Amino acid sequence: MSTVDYQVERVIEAGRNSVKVLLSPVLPLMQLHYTCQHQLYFYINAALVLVRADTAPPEKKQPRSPPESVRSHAGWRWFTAMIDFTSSGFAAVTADLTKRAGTLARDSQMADPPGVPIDAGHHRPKPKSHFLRLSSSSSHSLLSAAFVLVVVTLTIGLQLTLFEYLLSGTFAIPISFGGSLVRMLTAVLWFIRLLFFEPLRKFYRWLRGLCDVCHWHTARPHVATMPDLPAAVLLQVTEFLPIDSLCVVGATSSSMREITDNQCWYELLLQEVEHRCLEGPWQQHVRQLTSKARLKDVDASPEEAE
Amino acid sequence: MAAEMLKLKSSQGEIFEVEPEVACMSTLIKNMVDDSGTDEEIPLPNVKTAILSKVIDYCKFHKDSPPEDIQKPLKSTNLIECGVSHWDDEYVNIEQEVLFELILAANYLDIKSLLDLTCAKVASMIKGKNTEEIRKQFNIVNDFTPEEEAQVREENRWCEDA
Repeated sequence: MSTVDYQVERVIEAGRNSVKVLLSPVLPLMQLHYTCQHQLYFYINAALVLVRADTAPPEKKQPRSPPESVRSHAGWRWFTAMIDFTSSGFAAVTADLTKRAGTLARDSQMADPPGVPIDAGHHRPKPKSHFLRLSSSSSHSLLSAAFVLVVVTLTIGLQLTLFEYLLSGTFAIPISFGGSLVRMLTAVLWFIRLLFFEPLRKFYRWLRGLCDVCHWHTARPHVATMPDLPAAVLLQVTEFLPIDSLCVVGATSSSMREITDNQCWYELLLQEVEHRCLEGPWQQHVRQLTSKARLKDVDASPEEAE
Repeated sequence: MAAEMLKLKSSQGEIFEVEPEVACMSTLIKNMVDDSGTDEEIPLPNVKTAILSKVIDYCKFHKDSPPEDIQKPLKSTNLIECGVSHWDDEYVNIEQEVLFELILAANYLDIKSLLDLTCAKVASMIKGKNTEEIRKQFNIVNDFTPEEEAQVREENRWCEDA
């Protein structure tokens, strides 16, 4: 080591010692702060695992086991037990109410408006009551999210309270300009520190996860798709469509186009001409369409369409 | 009295006891009753409990008052204006998922009037919408190549003009 390096080392060492001396009154506080932050980190981590595993859409759902470090934590068992207990209880109540609603619907008179769907399957119909709407999986997700929110709020609140108490109590910093400045600086430092630390990033990711959950709950695609219906049924649906809607449906996908092409275009066109009594350029389109190769099993000539 | 009731068993194992006149609005059930009699449970493995319950509601209501034919093609997105009764209109005012299951059940049970009603409801949901709206509503994946899509759009330009 060169002399310069040695000198630099000395200066750094002296600086470290000075900082230690200066910070010595605050060290217990920082230790406590670290402990609180560690707890917060744990809860957010656990929440992330639970919420993600619980709220993924069915087709993408992949059960995830938490990392060993989380599972080995004493709080994990308490946390999962609480979630299981509340969600299973909630699901039982929901199932019971759904069953009762079904019984009521069956017992109601015939002239009553159609009742609430009774039972619950995989594609559970959602009755009108908001409470009944909650399936066990969604109640589980909502409970998880609510529970996590409560825990995080309490943890942050406790942390801030302790922080405040220690600043004003243990160290007896007077409420003065200096005290306020120290508080303000500490708060700013604490915040800056959070910005660069993993917990905040985790929290940010958790918030994004929560947003995804909300998005999934509100904007999830319909499970039932048109092409799921048998071709015969789709053909029957198309019978109710005027020809312009039929063309639009045929433009949605190749399978739908096949269905609409199998519809008897010629008859439809006749119906449409009769229905709309349109003249002029529209009838030219009729002629064009009827002369197309898509005409199937139609013996009449295109001119008859007029 | 109870012996006269037909027992319909849903795919989830729940049994509904219904009058033969009600159950026999379904051609499938009618044929099964003609073949095997009314003593045994009639298994309906393709119909869930909730859907079967709704189908029975429909059959009970229309046992003595058959529905009128629905206009083809629909002249309005409002089914009532197309000859559907208020009760029927309310009956099919349900979630799309349930509606599709109801269509499948009506098709399986061969109840023509119910199939017509549910298909007309789907058609009313389609009528007046553009291609993208229909794709979104019914979760249809656009599998056209850009060239095919351009061709289809060109062919359908008259719809927009009309």
